[in-house]
Amino acid sequence: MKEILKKFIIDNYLLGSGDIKDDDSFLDNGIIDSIGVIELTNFIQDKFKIKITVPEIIPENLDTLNNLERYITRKLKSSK
Amino acid sequence: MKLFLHDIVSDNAKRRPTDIAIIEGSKQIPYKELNRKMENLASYMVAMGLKRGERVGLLAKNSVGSIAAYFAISKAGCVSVPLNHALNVEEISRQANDCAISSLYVGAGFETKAKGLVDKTKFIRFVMNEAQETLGYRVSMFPRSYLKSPASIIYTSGTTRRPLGALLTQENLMSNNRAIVKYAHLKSSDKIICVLPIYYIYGLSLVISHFIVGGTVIIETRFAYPNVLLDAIEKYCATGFAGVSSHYIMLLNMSNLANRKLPSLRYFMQAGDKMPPDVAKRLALLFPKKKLYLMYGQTEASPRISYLDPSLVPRKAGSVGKPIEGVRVKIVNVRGKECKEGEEGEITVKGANIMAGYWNNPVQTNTALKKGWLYTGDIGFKDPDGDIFIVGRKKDFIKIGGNRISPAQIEDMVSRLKGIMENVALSFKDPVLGERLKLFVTLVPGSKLEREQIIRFCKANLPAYGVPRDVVVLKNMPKNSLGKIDRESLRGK
Repeated sequence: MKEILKKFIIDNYLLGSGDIKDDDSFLDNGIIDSIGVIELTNFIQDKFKIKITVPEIIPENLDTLNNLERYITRKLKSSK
Repeated sequence: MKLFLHDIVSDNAKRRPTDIAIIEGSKQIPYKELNRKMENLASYMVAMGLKRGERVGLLAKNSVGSIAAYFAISKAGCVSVPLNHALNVEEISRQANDCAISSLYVGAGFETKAKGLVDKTKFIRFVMNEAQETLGYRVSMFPRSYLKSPASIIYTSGTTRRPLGALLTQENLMSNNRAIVKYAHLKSSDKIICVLPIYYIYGLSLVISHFIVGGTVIIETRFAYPNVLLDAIEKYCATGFAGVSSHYIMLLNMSNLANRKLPSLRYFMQAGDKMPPDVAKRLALLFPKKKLYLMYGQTEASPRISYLDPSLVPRKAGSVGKPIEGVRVKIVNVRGKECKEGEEGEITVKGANIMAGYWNNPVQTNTALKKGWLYTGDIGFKDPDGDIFIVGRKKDFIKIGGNRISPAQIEDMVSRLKGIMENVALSFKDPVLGERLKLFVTLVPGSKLEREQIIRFCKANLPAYGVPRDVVVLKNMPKNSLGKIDRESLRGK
């Protein structure tokens, strides 16, 4: 899962070059802005078939690869 | 009397040395410290041989350092050029070369971009950063400033043409920000959450106006998560928030704004684009006791031109109100004659806030400034109360089968449809009609609105020639670095 997310971030925000560590903040490193967050939530909803609600759009869920993985895993478990 | 930009900081350092000027994350910087940083950097610039009137670029995000640098450049008698760091090196170097920037202040994280810029420009002699704000340089004399001294060059958005830099004087910026202080009733206890960059004149005016009264600027860069912004408002007891329409649309649709009371918050400010009246009304309805300032401005006017009295928002949202103190607005027809009440024409503006001209560009200056009046390129009218309504940009008007319509008229109507988040109407060349309307929309999360419903709504609410032929539902609306919709990039979609 993390590889899929990493590829999406690198392809779309780092224009295919550069690397990102699992705990790098997308915001603090200037990788993602507000439009980026909307794109990212759309991508996750489509790819993993989960529904992201407004209160869940917070950095603790979305701002690093590790946070994303934890959040999506939790959502997938609760939807079963 | 605070006559010049740098006087604001030094005056506050004397009157309220321990009051907080800037909050940036865990840092709280009192005026005394900000003043020290400003003096150190200004001294360094003078010691390095910068002369009065030389242009100094600012390539940095909003930070304590970059704000201190902005005022230091004024103290050193130089002209600040806040650069849009979201542009690429090529685009920034066009601006830097246009006004012959001779030195550069670089904020954290922009070292590589700065190096690229130095390589591509002809005039940069030296580069500074936050380190020079902590060194104890002292010079005995700073160049004298005058009201008409050039203070800042702000490049207007748009990257395709030759860069257009509005040259603003000390008087332009000071008079305009004093008027902002007056109408927004700003005071020293005010704390503004600033998400707008200072290379954008609207963001810059928030800093200057709140510093004039000795208030606090809270730097916030995490608006991408609107709930985080609301948490910051609560945590720091902010009294004000300022944004463009998109910020409010995101707050209303992607945060739990409706469930928050935000007790410390006294005012919302909106400028930079037209706020859809329904969005303004929704916000006013949610927070009837807070003031919502719907404002109109242009970089060339330093920037504020007019604002709508907050008490009129429920009744008159859609209007940008009356001119601010010291500013006159005249609506003129193509012959240059003043329009009658209700008659549409070009909005022209006069006052101490109007720019000296475009840097090194007499042709564009003579098109924009005529006998002291700024021709804004915006088309509008005044209602019987003298409140101004903007109907669109002169160049954006669409002619369909002999009828004229502004995209803004269509967009205002479409924004009333439940489920629409943002929308843009554009015209494309059509072999039969001359022009053909296409509508681009984004939907609020969870909306199931379909193309046909949108077209049906347009048919019921717009004149036949204003009904879009095509509707494209986008996942995201493209935005420029200021958060405004990037209309031109939609042309390829």
